Amino acid sequence: MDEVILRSERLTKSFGKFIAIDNIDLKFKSGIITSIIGPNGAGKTTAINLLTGALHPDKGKVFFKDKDITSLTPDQSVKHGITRSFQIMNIFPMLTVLQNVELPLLSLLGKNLKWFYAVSRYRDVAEEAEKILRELSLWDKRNKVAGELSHGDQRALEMGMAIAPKPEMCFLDEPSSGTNPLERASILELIKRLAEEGSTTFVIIEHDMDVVFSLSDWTIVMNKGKVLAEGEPDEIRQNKEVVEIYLGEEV
Amino acid sequence: MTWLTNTLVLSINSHRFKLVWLGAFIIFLFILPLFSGDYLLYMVMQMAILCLLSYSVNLLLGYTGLLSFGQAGFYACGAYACGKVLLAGASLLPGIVIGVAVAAIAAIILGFFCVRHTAIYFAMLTLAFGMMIFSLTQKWVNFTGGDDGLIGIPRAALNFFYIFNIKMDTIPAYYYFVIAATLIAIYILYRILNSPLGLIFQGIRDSETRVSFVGISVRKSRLICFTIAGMYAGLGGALLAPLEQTITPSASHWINSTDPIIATLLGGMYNFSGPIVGSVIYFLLKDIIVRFTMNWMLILGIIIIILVLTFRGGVMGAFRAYLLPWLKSRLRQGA
Ligand SMILES: Nc1ncnc2c1ncn2[C@@H]1O[C@H](COP(=O)(O)OP(=O)(O)OP(=O)(O)O)[C@@H](O)[C@H]1O
Ligand SMILES: [Mg+2]
Repeated sequence: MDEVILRSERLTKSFGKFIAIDNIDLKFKSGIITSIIGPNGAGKTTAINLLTGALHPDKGKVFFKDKDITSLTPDQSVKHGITRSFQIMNIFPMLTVLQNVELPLLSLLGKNLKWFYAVSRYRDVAEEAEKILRELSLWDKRNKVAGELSHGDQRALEMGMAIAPKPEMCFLDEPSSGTNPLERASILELIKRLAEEGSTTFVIIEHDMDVVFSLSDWTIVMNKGKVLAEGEPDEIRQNKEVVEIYLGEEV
Repeated sequence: MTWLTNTLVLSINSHRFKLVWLGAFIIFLFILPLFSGDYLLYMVMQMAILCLLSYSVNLLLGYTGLLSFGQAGFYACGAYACGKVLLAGASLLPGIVIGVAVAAIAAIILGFFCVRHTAIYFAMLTLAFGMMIFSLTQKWVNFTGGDDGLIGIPRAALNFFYIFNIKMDTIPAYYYFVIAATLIAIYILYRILNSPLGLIFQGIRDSETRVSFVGISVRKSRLICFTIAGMYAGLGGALLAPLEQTITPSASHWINSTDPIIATLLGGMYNFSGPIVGSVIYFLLKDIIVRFTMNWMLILGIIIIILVLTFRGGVMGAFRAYLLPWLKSRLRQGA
């Protein structure tokens, strides 16, 4: 399972004069959990935006299983099997919990142009939605309006939306940000379980070191738009440069 | 008194009773011509047309999160196209269908340029489109008749090959046609909004980026929505042509874009029946206030300000948020 599933070649992105991503080559191996860490403003979110089609690079290319996906739009990239969650909560707050997971299933199951029968009439969508909500322990809250859920539940729901399209690759941008320790533990548990059960390759951006070291098999450290170091979590923990620039702040 | 509140609460809450209310409403509409004069029927038809325009607005505003100031343009497209077809001697159905089709085509073309922009730019572009259509109806004299408009549009018979042929020249006859067409259109919209496509529209309202990251093209979905909305405005216009028998540039006046927006806000934009309730109330308000004062716009302005500042959900929203709980508590006290 050591093959590279997604990689970038000399990726560069500037905002005005500010270079947010500076000529980086990233590689993600399939079947393992990779985490990206780095101080605020390191360019982690921007990197994910470039890899998922939310932004397009000034220079460089992105390859998914050796196919050039640099210029795909987000919806096309999802159809290729790449999904994500967002650092700032991004769910459908006025829709019900159930509708929130039905939406990603519509496109997966080719129902997005059906316009006459109620959503609930499509058995495959309903069954799949139930499976996902039970996995997230949100089945009992399925008829609640999503915006009224607790923060932790909203985070879990967003994760459900990211995995609903059965992606090959899923980027999670600080999936536990803003949650309390209890919620955080259950979200991490969820990620671990999904990674073990499914065939999805996860990439996680995290600030919490405990999370990074307990969850991931490979760690990429970013700073000022560049890759500072990468390796197994234990190596990273001992890397002097990393400790100075990043871990030092926290300890 | 208790039994009354009792029935009321029950009837508001349960799905079956909702259907009963709906059934009663439809029956009322259909027996209305038996005991009312032509003028009232004419008013109800006007309400029905405003209602279609309001649904057109609310499909965009309440369900997809887009504010269009150009629905009058599609309304005029429907009215002029239907008028032209009827003047050429066609029967009613082709007139209506072509009216709707022309509005749909206009919406696809305009939508192609508009839907990639959001919020303020979308609103401005649709406003500009409405103004373009307005001057087109005035200036393209050969086709539209200029300021005089299209005159003498016949209320053509409703026939379908040799299967049926129903005369439409009396007001009650045309009334039945308008009510039937409006109810069918609203029913279809209800289905659309509860379907996968409708769910996608509501997703776009809540979060565009999220919709694109579940694998759905926001632009394409918005274009579909904009086209459907154009068709509803076009249907309103197409029904207007045989009713008035004269179509002038005033059909494309911006007031036909803003009236339905106000009616929608009044009724409640996050409620399916909001546009109906809003249209009826708005129409009656306008009619009543005009009788007492010339300063109709002033009163209307005050109503809108109160609405926006206090009842964002409109009449239906307030009904759900305040009246329903109040009725329930009354019921509990009574029991
Ligand atoms: N759309 C944008 N326009 C201008 N500058 C941007 C934009 N997006 C990001 N930046 C800048 O690029 C830099 C990297 O931002 P990015 O969000 O990728 O950092 P990050 O590593 O995710 O940080 P954090 O840990 O705070 O989430 C920051 O300095 C940010 O201000
Ligand atoms: Mg970030």
